[in-house]
Amino acid sequence: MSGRIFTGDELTEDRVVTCDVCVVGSGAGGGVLGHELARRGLDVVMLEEGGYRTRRDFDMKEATAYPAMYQELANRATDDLAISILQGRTVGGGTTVNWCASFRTPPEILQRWRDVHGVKGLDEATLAPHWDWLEERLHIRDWPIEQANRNNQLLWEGLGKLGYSRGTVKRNVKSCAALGVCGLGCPTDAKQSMLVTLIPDAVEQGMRLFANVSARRLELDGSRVVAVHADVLDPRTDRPTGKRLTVKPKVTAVCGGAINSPALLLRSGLDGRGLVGKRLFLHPVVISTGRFRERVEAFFGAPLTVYSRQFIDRGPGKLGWLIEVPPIHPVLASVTMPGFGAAHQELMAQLPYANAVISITLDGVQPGDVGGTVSLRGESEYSRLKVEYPLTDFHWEGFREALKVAARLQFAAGAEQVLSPHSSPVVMRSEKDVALLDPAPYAPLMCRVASAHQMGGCAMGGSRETSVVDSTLRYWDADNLFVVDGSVFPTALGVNPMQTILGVAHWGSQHVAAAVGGRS
Amino acid sequence: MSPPRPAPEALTRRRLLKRGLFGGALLALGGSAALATRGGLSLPLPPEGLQVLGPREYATLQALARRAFPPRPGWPDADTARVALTADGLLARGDPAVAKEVKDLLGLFDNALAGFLFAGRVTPFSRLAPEAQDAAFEAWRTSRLVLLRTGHQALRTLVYSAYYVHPAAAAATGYVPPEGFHDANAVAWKGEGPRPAPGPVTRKEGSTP
Repeated sequence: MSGRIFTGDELTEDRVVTCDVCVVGSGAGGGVLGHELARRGLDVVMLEEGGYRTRRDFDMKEATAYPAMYQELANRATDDLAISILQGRTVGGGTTVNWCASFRTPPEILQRWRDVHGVKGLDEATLAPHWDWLEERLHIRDWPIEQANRNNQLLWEGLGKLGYSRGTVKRNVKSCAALGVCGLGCPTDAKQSMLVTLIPDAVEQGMRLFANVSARRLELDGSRVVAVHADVLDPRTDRPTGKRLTVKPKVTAVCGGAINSPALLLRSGLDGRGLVGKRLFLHPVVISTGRFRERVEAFFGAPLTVYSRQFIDRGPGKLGWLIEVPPIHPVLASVTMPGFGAAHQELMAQLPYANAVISITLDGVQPGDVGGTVSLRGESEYSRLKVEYPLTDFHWEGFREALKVAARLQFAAGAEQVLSPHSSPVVMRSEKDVALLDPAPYAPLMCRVASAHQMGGCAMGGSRETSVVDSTLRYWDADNLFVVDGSVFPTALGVNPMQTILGVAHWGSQHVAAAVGGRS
Repeated sequence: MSPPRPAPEALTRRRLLKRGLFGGALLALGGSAALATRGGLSLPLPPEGLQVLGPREYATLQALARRAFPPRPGWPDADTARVALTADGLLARGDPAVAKEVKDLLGLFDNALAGFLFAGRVTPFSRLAPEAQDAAFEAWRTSRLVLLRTGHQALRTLVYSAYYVHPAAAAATGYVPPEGFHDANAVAWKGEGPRPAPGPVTRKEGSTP
């Protein structure tokens, strides 16, 4: 049986479809789940709010990519705009536009999920065969330091000179030309995203994927989901066309990611006794920008290939962080670099000489660190969602120390100037200036914070009193509803989350499949 | 160890706009209608027309863009890059509720009464001298009120996003997309017939363009 990919412009009438499983979302969670269910011979319908963009659309321009393939045109942010949030919104979800970094889940995180949050049956040994399969199918391989671009080499050198731990990052690419545009969509299909791997595989196995279809509400009859109600969107405008798609599945799996999944549940009146939308973790990031005498050209080459977890564990009560470097393209750089007017223009003119170090903080693993919240602004099916994430002294202390480490790394690598992410940046010209970071202002919108990793919001756990889904990813209060994406993480990870989402979805697919024929 | 505490002040975009409406209430009570309705800059509208912004909001945003992108050799200026028009297009593509909030924000930003309340000036932003415009925008960045810093952040992000999507602006920074890799005619497979082969790779794996 061959399936089909439908786009909004093909859905010119209201439609009702039935299936075994409705998968809402096509990213790392939904992509793997849809594949595994279709492989088992189940009738799968997948809904994706974003468009069906392929390499014919990936022209390597930010002007094209951000409005078309990111949530809220890449302008998603917390309600106070203090944290900007990069999140995919296209077939393949984040896997289509992320920077390819692939890490297995740190063992200590899985142990914490077991010991603190009561998650059962999810450990390294259990996940290993799932990851083995995924690493083979998605061609997840080491990217040797010899192939690193200058941006990553500078981090490697800085880490070495300061004696910090360092490693190279595995990437899910095949025949990669290192164009540097992973975040804008891969024009050669080298990136082994869901878009070009498991989703086409699943379609060949019979899966029907509806792109430009926004799931608005789950309809329940007692404790069972009986329908998914969705709007068809115009692919050119992203506005509802007025046509509706109604899916009547035996089982529903919500895979919209850590912000949209809780929002869908809340719109459907499923609040998990007040827990849906809580424990949202963003891996809040601060960026340190270095300027070098040599051309770095951080917009070219594999974007993210070196990392350090030297500071991931700073002990009780301290926020730890992961160190990496990002690609630096003009639009992204312009909104993250400080200043205004001619001064900002001068910074932008030096873009080829810029290196950036990102400090990705590990949230949710310290007592009292409950992260943020996703909620709705109103009661209706069309209420906008709201993301709140209070930044406290706990975070600011971590950000400050992370910026000091980043600046030292950049000077060790040869930077002639380092700028902090403050709206009025701390300008450092040598290592001795790093102390200037201490008295700088640390407050929302005075010091820029970003997020490219969203986790939590539908936390998995051992008790219905403390979690939204159980250890089989099933919503505690519904028989045939599962959540299969990064929203089920009870904490953040301290590494890029794609591979953990892939692995959890691959492992969790057995439970979803079992539920089709009755409760497992 | 001290556990994280809630942020002391978390004013939101929505509350920012309520503050704008509150300004309107003050206006009605205080008889300052003349101040609040003082005319701002007027600019010719683009021949394509506007989708979201009104004429005054368009002029206010373009006035801010002119300060963001002063003339510089090799770089398009704000008018060449048509920043406010591009921003209008971006707003039209996004959530209508967000567009409404940005319109309200621009109204507040250019409002003489708000300027008086927040900064003691009585001239709309768009009619200020260039240096005074810089100072007014800077005052929002450094304000002790999170609500004004939020407004600064929103407007700054909008003008920068709208400017650097212009190909000439991106090229001025030194970034030009690699050529020879994008195939606008590539087949978008939807399940009918065999899957197309992966895209061509014309360079050695791992090489930098």
